[in-house]
Amino acid sequence: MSRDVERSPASVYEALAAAVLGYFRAQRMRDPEALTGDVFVAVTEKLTGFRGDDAALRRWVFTIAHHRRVDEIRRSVRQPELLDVAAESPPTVDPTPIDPALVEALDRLTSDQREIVVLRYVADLSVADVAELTGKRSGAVKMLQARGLAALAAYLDSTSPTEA
Amino acid sequence: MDENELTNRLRALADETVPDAVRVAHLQRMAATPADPTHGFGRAWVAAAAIVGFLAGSTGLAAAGALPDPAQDVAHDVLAVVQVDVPEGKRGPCVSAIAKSDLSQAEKKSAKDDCPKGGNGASGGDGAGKSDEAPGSTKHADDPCKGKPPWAGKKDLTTEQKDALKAERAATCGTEREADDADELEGDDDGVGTEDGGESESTDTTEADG
Repeated sequence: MSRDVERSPASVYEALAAAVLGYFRAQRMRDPEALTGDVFVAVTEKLTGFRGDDAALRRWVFTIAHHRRVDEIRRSVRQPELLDVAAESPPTVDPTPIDPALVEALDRLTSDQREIVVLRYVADLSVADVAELTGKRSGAVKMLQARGLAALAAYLDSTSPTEA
Repeated sequence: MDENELTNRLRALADETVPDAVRVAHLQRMAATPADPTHGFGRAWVAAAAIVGFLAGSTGLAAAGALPDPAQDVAHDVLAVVQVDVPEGKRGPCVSAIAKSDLSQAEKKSAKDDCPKGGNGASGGDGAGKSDEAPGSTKHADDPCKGKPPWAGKKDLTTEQKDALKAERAATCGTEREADDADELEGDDDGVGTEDGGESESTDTTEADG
């Protein structure tokens, strides 16, 4: 997609839906498919007012995804009993990611480390974008990223089968 | 595991395919969602409305001369550029002139206190409750037969002096009314009642009080 062209919601979906789904799965969110749908419904509503290039579009879509994730976490804190009931119902789609070991390793990180690592590498945002999105300083983002990657590597090394 | 391999695995998470059933459901939801036509204009409209409202309100206040004096001066200068005539603040020039004078500090302070307060100048507003007259002047300074008589409130005058002033005023104005008023005022000042204060009590006392 080029700079400032008219985009259809469907084209934005085709370009970014997989990344948004991966973002929610990497964050170990409950029902990542539904959250992805919510994000693109919001994108559809607001796309007419969006102006910017592909990088800005990616930043905007992941900003919506980030806010949706924060809303979901707040809702789960306020209404844990409802979510427990919902958790008992079977998911409509198999949420198994393509790299379950990595997703499990991400689950071992602190919330901040996981958020930064996922936004940097799964959402593919720059350090400055992540800093703005999360309200942290660039230095803090870099530090959390480095510690998160180190922790991930250590966990994956410790759980991977030893090479003969 | 080196960092490149790890980051490549992380980036691969973004390449997960969306299951067809999920993709179709999402696209159906999106197709059923109307685009918000006002989105993107909302902030601009609010900002524009706020600016227009502020300008209209402040220009109206400036035209009425109701702004605080420094703001009134600024409005006068700025709007003069676009050929809009609004009154100038009055206190500012008065205070400025006093500050530049050779008076002592105490005299300057006293003179500043006498400068008009508020933004209602001679060319703007109705001036209700505010005086447009120079410091020390009286409302009827040009008419000796109106307003406070010359002996009112002057306790240091002797009875003879007061009588002389009364006679002079009576001769000039040809009526006893003001003299009665003055007697009443004199009585108020001295705490002594008037001789014939009956019908005159309710007439012009506010003028003398003011």
